[in-house]
Amino acid sequence: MSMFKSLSAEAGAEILSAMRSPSYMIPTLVFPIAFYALFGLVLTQGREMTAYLLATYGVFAVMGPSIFGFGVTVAAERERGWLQLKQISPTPALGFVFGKFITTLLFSGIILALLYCTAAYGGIAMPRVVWASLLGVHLLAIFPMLLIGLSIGLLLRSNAALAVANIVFMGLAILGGLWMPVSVYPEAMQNIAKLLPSYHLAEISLAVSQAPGERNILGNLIPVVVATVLLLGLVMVSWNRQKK
Amino acid sequence: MIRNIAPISLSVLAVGLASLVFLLPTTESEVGTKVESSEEKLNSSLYIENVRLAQSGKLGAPTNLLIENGIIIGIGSEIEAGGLEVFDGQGHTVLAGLIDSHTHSFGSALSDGVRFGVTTHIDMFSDSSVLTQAKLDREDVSSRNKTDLYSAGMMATSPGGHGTQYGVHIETIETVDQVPSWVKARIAEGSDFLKLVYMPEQDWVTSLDREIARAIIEEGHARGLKVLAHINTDIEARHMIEDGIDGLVHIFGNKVADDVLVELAKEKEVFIIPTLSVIASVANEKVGHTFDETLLSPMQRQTLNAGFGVDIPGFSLENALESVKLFHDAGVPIIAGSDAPNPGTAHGVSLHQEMELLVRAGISEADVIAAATSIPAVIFELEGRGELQQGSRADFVLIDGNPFENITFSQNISSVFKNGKIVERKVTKEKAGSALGPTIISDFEEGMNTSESFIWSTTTDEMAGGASTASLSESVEEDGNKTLQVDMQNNAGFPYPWAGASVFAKEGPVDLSGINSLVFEVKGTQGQYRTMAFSGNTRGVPPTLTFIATEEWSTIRLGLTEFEGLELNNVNGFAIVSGHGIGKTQLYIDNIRLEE
Repeated sequence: MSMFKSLSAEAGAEILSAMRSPSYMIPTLVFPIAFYALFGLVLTQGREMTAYLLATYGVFAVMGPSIFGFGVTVAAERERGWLQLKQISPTPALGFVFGKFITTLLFSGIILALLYCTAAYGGIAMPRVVWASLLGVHLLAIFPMLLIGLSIGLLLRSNAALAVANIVFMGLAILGGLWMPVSVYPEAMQNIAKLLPSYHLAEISLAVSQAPGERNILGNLIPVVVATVLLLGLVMVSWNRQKK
Repeated sequence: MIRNIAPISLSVLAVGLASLVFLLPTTESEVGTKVESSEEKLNSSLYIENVRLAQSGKLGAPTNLLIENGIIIGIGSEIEAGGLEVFDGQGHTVLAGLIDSHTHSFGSALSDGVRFGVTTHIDMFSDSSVLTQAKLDREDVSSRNKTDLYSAGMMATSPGGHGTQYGVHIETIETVDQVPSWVKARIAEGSDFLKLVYMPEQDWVTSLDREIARAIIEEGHARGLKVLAHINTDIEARHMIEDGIDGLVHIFGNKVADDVLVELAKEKEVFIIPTLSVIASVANEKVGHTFDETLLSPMQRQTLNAGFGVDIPGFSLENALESVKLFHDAGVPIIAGSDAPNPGTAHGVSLHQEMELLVRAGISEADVIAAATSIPAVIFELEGRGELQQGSRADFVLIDGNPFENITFSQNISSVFKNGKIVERKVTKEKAGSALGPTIISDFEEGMNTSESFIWSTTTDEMAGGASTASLSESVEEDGNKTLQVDMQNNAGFPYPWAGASVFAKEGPVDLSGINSLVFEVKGTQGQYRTMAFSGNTRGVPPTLTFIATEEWSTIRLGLTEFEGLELNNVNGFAIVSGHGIGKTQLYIDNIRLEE
């Protein structure tokens, strides 16, 4: 019970802290919705693109809170010695990660809800099971993204972390085909896309939302799982190194 | 206090997202129905008693069918209902679900097909984006009111060649080098086979040359795909047969096949889908049908009543009929295909017309029924289709009478079953437009777009990949009368260029049943111009009437019923455009109105 209490307290504090920092709130909440409204609704003709971008922007939407929420804040807190303090204090050290995870989940959920409402306003109608599976895929996308953020946060100093997080964030979004289909890129760029978890997550989202084109969910799921496992390994190594 | 934030906000989020999923707009799409019907599937057994199977050239004795989950699991007079739901077949004849082996399946094609007993379409060119879904759908044995689709997807043609005129995206082929990647792309998109257009003898359109056509055939075969060809003449047919084509998707009509060609076709084991229905339409011969007119969908009515509107030489139905008989007698497989929805044909309906034409060519009723069922099933490897036996799909048609005595009995459909479920044959009514009485669309005195119901804009072949341009402006006559000035420039780029002005109903289709004619005053560059009319289900070339303009004002009066196939209760608008020629023209239009 005390474990639950301490984790809840940790998560509650994280949520409050996130809510109180507009520099985190506004970009992560507003940007994906604003971009989607602009590129998916206003600047396109026909609902095909609106539906296509809904699938890919869902992945983009959860990237913000995952990469920045972990990458930048962990790096800053680590530099201030906060992480070290946590690790030697009697509370479970992973509570620190847990709190951030809950915050990320909460924010991602809110952004996704707003994104879906925007899409619905733009005329997208899909079978209920598709909406539900799309939500499932987008929520699952949090895990690899969060691990990317956490690796950045654990490995880099806070100044570098912000810069790297930005580059990684943009790279995953653009090269992964979250803003526009990778099929419009030259072949070399298309090959890079296939190395990115964001690309495979977007393909899975597109497959469940039945976008035109042939897709093999398993073929996209395996790279995502592999990437997640590798990232988890990286995080564990850097976490333990941190302890020493 | 702080401890409560996370649990509460997460609960709120979970409940919020869950209810959002239920509140977001849904469609009754395939997935939705699939999910619902998977439960239904479990008890989708049906017992059909007292029917007679018409296949393999014989009308069988009364028998019973047992169906489970969309599959026939038993046929025989000894089979009993065993407590299952019973459907009384009343002694009707059962035909295996018909296969139309030459369609272009868009619009209401798949629902129109199945309502007329055509449960499988072999599509010879349509938008490749539908292929993935089509593959899923045709494997699904749950209840659906839709024809199953196999397709060539995008077809192989040259820049500006046949096929590029429909506004469907085509990657054309110019060199042999492009062939491997083109074929690879089709396989990736899900083409079930390949179709190429080979008509180098036609001087009005470009074509793939023989070398490229041969490369496509070889590449397709190397990758395990059948390759079919669209040809126009006997010589083109001979080239393709010599080069190893698997089948021809039309018969030629320019002359009767000679013995050498027939022998060659036999030796090379090609099959032919003659599409006599569309050749009859090109040759201006109406075939007719005995179906209840109220069963026709708007698209069926429109395409069936439409005509090609031009005389295309080299299409003699008599030659085609004679050649079909020669090939058939030599042992070349003949397959029924309609080429619907080309002008003069309609999905579903025209396969029955095609069977009638094949009988007219001199083929026996038994062989003709096989040409629409078992033969294409074998040739296109359609497992479980084309023949009714234990284990085959429960796709079949109940008709009155013995089709081996009279092929037109295939049109006496009493019911259609798709995946073991009875098909709703009535057409779901399309919403008619709001009624509009006689009205002045525009007199242009207050400007172009002052009408409450209509809006003007330019229309050109740019939407189909052409390069023509048009502009609209106001013009003032010497007496102060204002008119609409339309400047049109037809440029080469699209095989059938157009440019001009369109006027469309602002708030969706209007019901013009109470209107007799479209009237306007016109003057301009002397020459022929076209007026097109668009209604709810217009697909392909809209019904068109021509008029002559001179440099003096004249009044043009076009009867709305003369626009063949126009759905009067569902009109979207009209377009006044240039003639076919390349060049610059100018029109002044005034007082355009709808009169009783």
